[in-house]
Amino acid sequence: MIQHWTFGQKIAAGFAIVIALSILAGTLSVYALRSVVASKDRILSVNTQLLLDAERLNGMRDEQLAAVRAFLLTGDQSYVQQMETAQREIGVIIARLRQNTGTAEGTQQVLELERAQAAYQQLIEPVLSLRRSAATLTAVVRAFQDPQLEAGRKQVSQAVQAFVDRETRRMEEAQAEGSRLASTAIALVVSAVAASVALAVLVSFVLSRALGRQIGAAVGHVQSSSAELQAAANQQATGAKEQTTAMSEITTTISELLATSRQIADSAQRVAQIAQLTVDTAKSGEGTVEEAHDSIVGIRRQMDQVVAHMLELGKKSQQIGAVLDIVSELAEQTNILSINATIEAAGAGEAGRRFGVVADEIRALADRVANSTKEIRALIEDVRGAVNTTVMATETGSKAVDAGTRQFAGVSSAFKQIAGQVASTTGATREIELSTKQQASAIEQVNVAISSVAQTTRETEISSGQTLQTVSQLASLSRDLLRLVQPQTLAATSS
Amino acid sequence: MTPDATQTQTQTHSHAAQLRAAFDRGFTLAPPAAPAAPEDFLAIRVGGDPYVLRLRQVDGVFTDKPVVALPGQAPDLLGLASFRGLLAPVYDLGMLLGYPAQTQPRRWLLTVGHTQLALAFDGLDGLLRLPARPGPTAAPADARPHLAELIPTGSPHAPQCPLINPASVLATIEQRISPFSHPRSNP
Repeated sequence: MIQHWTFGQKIAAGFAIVIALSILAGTLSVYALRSVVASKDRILSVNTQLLLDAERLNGMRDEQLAAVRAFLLTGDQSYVQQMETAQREIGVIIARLRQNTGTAEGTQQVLELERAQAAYQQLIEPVLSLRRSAATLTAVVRAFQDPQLEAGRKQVSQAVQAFVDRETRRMEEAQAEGSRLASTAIALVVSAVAASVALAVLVSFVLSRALGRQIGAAVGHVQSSSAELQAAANQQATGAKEQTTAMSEITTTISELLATSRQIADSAQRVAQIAQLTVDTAKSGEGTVEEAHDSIVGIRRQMDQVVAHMLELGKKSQQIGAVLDIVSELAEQTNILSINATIEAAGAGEAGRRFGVVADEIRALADRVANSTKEIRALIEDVRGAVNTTVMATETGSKAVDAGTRQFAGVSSAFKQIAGQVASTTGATREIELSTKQQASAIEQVNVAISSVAQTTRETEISSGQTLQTVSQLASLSRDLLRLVQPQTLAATSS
Repeated sequence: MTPDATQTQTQTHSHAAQLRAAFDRGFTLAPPAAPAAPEDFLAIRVGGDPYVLRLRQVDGVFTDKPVVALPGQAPDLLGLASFRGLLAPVYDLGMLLGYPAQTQPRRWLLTVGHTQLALAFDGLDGLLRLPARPGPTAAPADARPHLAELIPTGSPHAPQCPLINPASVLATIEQRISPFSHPRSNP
């Protein structure tokens, strides 16, 4: 049943036992003390008082005696008053003694003391009277030294002394009795205290063992739980740190993404503007292409005319060449004729001299004709070459013009396609611009959210760190508590 | 009189004295001989090379004359042709000079030896009237046959042309056909 008590109940029970033992010890101590005190009180109040009264009585007697002697010596009346005062005080003391003494023997001794004092007083009066009577000092001294007076004085002293001895004896007996009582009480108290201590030690031992066992178990559970909690908090702190790092990276990435999105949005806007300009340019280019096409067609027409004229020129040059061939042949024949004429003139001798001159002139003419024919043929050849070159170039140009015309047609259609595609591109670019702007705003919102999450993560990291710190403190406290509760367990654990 | 004028007068007198001496010396010199009459040469091309013939050794120049081929084994004999009513054998001057036969017939003909022989050549460059030479320049030893000498033509393209000797050609042909030939009476 006790095992199911709570710590408070067990501690309360232990404290209750200790308190009960303390109360018992206290009660015994109080009783003993009261007995001792009573004994001592009695000793102090009675025995000591009696002794004090007895000593005071002795003192008064001495004072009385001194006053008597002083009066007897000086005759001063103040000494008589002192003596009377002492006498009265002695009487009071004796009355007190008679009252306080508790035994018959004591009373008897007080009576004897009173009778002795009274007797002495009776004996001293004459002496006093003698002194008052203006007797001499010697007579007074002689009267004072009366043996009866001395005997009376001694009797009083002996009575007082007997009373004192008796009271002293009684006080010693009372003291012994009190000491015995005190010893008994001390022994009783010590026994009670020892018993209380032993019981308290036993109770504390049992309680500490039980509590220590239970607390140790609980602390062990707490320590293991705190260790697990510390590990979990560590993991949580690590995870929070990693999460914070990841969130920082995400924040940085989001910021970069945001900047990139803004750049893309700006670029898309510029692209849209450029696309629009391109559309306009394409449209103007279309017209230019059409004009160029018309120009090329006109050029082709002109080139065809040039080719026709060149071909006509070629034909004419061919005709000229044919004529030149005839002229060249004529010149050649003329030259041959002149040579033959020169030969015949040389063979004719003097008669053929004039013929030879004519032959020379004909030969010169033939040479001039041949030279001119050569020049003309060269020119004709140059012209024909130029015509051929021009025709070939014109043909090449015509082919190029045809190719250019075909290309222009292709260019025109391509321009139309480009214009259409640019228009569609412009639309798509506008959409891209809008999308990128929306994306940028979405990324901004995400950035804000990420920043909030990052802040929360940082706070989580901080709280995880605080939790870890708290758990560490809890683990340390559990170890300290365990050390306090079960040092041997901790030592065994530490070893 | 100024020094300049004196110097000028002195120069003038000196020049006059020189002219007087030259005039007097001119009477002491023998009259120069009459310049030699230039000679006419016919410039032709054979095998792409320039040659010349003395015009007085050529009887006539013809072109595009129909040549009737004769059966025979003489490769340089192209055939017969009529020249002003006279028949003459036509030989390939290029082959006679040692050039290889060519497939393209040579269209130019000249007659030599009083139209006893006609020689076919590639082309006529013209008539050259060259001044008299101080002395003939012999043809090199390795020159082609029937070449007499080298004639300076003054042309930058052919400063010196070999001179064909028609007599040598004629003698060679006559020697080849001597067992079969009949002497022809000269007109």
